[in-house]
Amino acid sequence: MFSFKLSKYEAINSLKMFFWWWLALAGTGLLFASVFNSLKSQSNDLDKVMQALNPQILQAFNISPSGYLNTVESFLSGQFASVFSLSGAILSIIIGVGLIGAKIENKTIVFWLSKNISRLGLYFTKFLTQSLVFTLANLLIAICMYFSFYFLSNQKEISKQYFIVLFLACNSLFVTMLSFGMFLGLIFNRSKAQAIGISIVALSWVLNALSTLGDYPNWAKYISVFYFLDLTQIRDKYEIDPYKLLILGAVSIVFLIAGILIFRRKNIYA
Amino acid sequence: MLLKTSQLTKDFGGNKGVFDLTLELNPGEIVGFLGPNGVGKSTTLGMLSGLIIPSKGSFEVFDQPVNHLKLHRFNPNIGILMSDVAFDPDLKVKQIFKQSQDLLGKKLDKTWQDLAKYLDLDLEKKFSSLSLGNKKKVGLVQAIMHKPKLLIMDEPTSGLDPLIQQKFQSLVSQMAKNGTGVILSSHALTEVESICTRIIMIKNGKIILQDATKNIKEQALKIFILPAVTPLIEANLKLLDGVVKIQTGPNETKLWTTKRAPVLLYLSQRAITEFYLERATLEEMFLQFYR
Repeated sequence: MFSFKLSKYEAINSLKMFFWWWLALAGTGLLFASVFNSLKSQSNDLDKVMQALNPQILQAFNISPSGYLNTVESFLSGQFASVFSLSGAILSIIIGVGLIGAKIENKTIVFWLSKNISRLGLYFTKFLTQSLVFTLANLLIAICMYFSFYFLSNQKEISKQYFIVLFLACNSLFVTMLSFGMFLGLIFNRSKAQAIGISIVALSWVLNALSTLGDYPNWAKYISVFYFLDLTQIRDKYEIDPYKLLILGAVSIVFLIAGILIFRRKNIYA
Repeated sequence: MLLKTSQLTKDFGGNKGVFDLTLELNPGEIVGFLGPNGVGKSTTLGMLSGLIIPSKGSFEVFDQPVNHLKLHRFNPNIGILMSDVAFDPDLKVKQIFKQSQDLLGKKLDKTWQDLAKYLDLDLEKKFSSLSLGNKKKVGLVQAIMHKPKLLIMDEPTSGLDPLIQQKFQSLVSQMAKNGTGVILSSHALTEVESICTRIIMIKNGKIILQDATKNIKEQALKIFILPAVTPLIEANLKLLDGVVKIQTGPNETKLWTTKRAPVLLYLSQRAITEFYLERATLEEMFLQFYR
């Protein structure tokens, strides 16, 4: 079912692409780490400004109501985690659509299917390899960020657990979105699939943010994939709810199976 | 037997698709699919390559029943070239060939280098920078470099210059001599006529003619070319058994017939001795079928 040979070529291709993603985020990490100390020195003034704002609005953007700039962890939660998870989810959709659907559209998939690789093997290998590449890229970003803050900030102890939990949770979200993107790519053409996928991710993010505001229904968060990422819990307790991770995993498997079933019956050259 | 299909059908609805296709392919045979655009040639080859899922019917490859999900197991012995040649645009030509060989589970040898040299293909160029003809050459080398026993090709020479077309024909003929069975579709009728041992003509998704090229040529329409005749003789000729068409110009009259004898008898009775006889080309037959 899994083709190591195909995985090798797929990984080489993906790593080339992820190099820029990794470089951009690692650069962002370095930038954040280098400005952290000067921002922290003004944290009392900033805290006053923040506390004047509606706490629910701060909550929507994952900003701690107090001590926002006191620690590296709360600084990253407010400045980085929310944007990172949203941009990563959008990137995952785009990559997911391109893995199989776009290859059917531009007919490059004929090359793979004319080799000793089954349709199931092709789909599964591409998904798994891409997920591993995501994990590797995220791991590199986490390590790079940790050491950037470790060496450049004046905070004596930085929680390793925070970094592990944040990047593990984001990675789970990205893999789920990858699986969703692959599924969409089989149903719609490339541009339509990307537009639908990105719209759903953006809407999901907004729903999750709005659900924290008093005027909006609390149930809305349950239909948002970002609720299962739970950045607030990561920010406050450096923990992640394993059930929420399991739900993300289950959604990912559902889309993976649905995608495989469609791909097995798909006319490639009609 | 390399390939056998039984009642293979792909119904796209609205009378579009391929219906009840039954054919066989033996080692060393080159079968040419003929027909205008949209009659079902690519759909047929797509089904045989596992890219299109048949609505009904069955097919066997190397005497074993297969479906589109199991066909990949035989791909190390099958060469596939579809009409739209597409590879990763960022790969160099040599990388495409190396990947191809690797994914087929074949030992790396120098065949692809020899073929690339024979077809005048630059191995160091990126696929995206190649011309249409050179892209086709990449597809061709990729389809035959592993010396397949069965070769499926959809319009393999479209976009190739005449010199490369000739090289392609000799390559395919040589492979057939070594036992490879080839099934191809083409619009190049002279190419089909010269290399195919059997011809299949498709119309509206159904086979309307399937026979050895030699037999088709023998049974082809005969063309009598004689000095321009009077309207009365032309009317009489039209009434003869087997006459399909007659055309009189200022200097000559052309007559197409399936039977030679009645025309010869009439001409001798009229003491018309200045005439010569031609056999219709495949192109003329093609036009006769599809007009």
